[in-house]
Amino acid sequence: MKTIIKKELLDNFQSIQFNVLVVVSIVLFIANGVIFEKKYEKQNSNYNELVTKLYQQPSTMGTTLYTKPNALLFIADGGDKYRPVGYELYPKGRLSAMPGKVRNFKMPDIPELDWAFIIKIVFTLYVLLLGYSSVSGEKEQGTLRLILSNSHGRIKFLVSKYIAIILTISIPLLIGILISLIILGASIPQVLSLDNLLRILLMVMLAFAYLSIFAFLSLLISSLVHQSSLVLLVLLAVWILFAIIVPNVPSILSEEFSEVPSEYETANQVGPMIQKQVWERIETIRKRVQQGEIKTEQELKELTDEAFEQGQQDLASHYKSYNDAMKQRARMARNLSRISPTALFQFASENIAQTGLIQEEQFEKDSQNYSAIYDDYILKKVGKVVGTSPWNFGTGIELNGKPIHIGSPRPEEYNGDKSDFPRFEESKPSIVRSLKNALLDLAGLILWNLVLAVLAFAAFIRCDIR
Amino acid sequence: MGMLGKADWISILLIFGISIFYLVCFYTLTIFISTVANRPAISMLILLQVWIFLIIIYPNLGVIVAENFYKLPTEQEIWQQKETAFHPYAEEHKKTQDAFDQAVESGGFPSKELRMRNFELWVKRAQTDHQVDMEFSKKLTQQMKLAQVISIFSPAVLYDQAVQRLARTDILSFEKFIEGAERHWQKFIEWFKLRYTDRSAFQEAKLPEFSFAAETNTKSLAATLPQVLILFLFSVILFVLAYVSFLRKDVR
Repeated sequence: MKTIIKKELLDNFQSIQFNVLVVVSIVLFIANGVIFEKKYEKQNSNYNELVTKLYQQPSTMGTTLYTKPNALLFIADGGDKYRPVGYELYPKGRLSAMPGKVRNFKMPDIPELDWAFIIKIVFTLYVLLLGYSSVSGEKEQGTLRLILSNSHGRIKFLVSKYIAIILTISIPLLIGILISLIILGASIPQVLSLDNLLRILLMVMLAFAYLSIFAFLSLLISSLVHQSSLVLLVLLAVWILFAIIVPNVPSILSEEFSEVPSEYETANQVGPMIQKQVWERIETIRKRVQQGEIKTEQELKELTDEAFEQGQQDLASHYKSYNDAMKQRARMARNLSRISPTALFQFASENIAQTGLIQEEQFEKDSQNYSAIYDDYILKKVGKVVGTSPWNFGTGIELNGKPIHIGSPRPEEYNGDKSDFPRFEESKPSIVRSLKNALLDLAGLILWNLVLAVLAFAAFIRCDIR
Repeated sequence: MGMLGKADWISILLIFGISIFYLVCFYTLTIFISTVANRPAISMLILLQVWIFLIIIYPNLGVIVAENFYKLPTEQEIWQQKETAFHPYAEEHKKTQDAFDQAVESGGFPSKELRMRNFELWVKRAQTDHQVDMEFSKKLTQQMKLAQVISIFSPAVLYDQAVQRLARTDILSFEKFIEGAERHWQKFIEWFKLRYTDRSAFQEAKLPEFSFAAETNTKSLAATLPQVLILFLFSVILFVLAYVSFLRKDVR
């Protein structure tokens, strides 16, 4: 077995594809290190500046929850460029996303050059390029009969081929990862904290589990098809299906076929809703004023404040139900794309690096917890908590011949000492928690490995070696 | 779904023609590699790597390089520029808005002059903000052009540029649309001012209609000629290389 592995490794090291991969890997991982180092430093200084400013002038009318830059973005970016810089938090838990980071919408929307991208696109392709001729190539050259006529069993032969592919691919992968870590660790020391190093180690293991699927796949097709060029063609088609088509199609399908109303439809519902939930209530009060049921300005203001507040809550829940439906649609698309090992690898990477959707959900939980603390603080300082929606309302009502302006109540500013203003902190789940979150995706990757391994061995055992 | 007009069908035909140029470019590349390599599997292996480089790695690197070498202003800088541009009017705007709010909240109605001035100042704010946004937009275009120049040797990038121009889904068409929207906005402002100066004229006047003239096919085709020529040049060079290497090839 050792002899076959050695021979395979020597062959691989001399191949064009291996040498190209080493160069490509070094270039891409250097680019990864440089890009993310710059990005993190920029985001971090911006974040520190904004947070310092925020707590210098805290407000009881609304505050901002800034999203803390993640030092592990270089592993799996998780769509960070689409993430807002922060969220405005208003009393009673209304969150409003701030504009996203400045990015050039005129440029093509390219994927981020994170580890997940490099591994899932470039490395998988090279695993296939290294493994496509493992069986069919030997058969074409007539060496397969020769090898198997010795004491080597078929299983040992295939295991050797598999180990050789994994060992060959591990060299450019580990060199690249090391280069990236040196670049990042030199300027961002927190990247090399114990927690992060463990996560990086998990990511490396995850990468091998993922690349192993493609190694088994190449062995399977190479055992089934006799002509090497045909094997390569089939593998290329499968790769395009797994790495490009399947991960992207579910989001397109769920967008086309889900019953979530569009942003335009949702906005169109707001006008009639305001009419019904706000102005009909105010109209009832106006009639009561005309009938003389309401006598004082204070009584009128209390009633209109209550009516506006109820209307605001209805509007807020309208927006919330739209946002919830959108999230549900995103979850559905993610679940559908889990058929592909590439999607499983991407989601598991995001879980380990704590980026993407999982980071967003964690942020939401943290902001809900903070919202309760913030409301308590407002209650303690101002004496009341006033909820708002993106809309403000105002009108006039004549009471006892005097025009009175009524408007939706606004949160009040407390002008006293605010040194005890609560600070918002984003929590980071433990590695165990991240692993639990990634469990489904990890299980999927292991299952793919098992299925393809069994199929590859079965195909090779039944293979005609002549 | 809207019906396709004559101009659209011509665009489709032109896109079809450019697609042929693009495919020929890859076909000549295939012939060249096939004459250089001795085994079909090796030939395919090289072609696959070239394809990945030309389609995925090289164009993306172009964007990454442009993003890192052509710096864009930060949100904070853009905000600062907007504040500076509006600074000469800021104080008056604040005073007018306060007077307006006070009039509303005291149950009264702001005077015609106050409403007019408040409206004019809001328009001024929108104009100064828009000017800063347009300056920023120019910088975005320059960054995009840099990325395009860097990726000029990728047939995929050239093809994308040509097809988007012919389909009028490129950034230039978007910019033309924004220019049209700006002109429409000016007309809208003039129309809305009537509300304060001549109420009856305002009620009688119609909301101005938005019109926007898309680029003609001739202009689009003229603009895509450089891309088509480069694609053609690639095909010729690759064919010559394939021919030369085939002449020198040992066919035994």
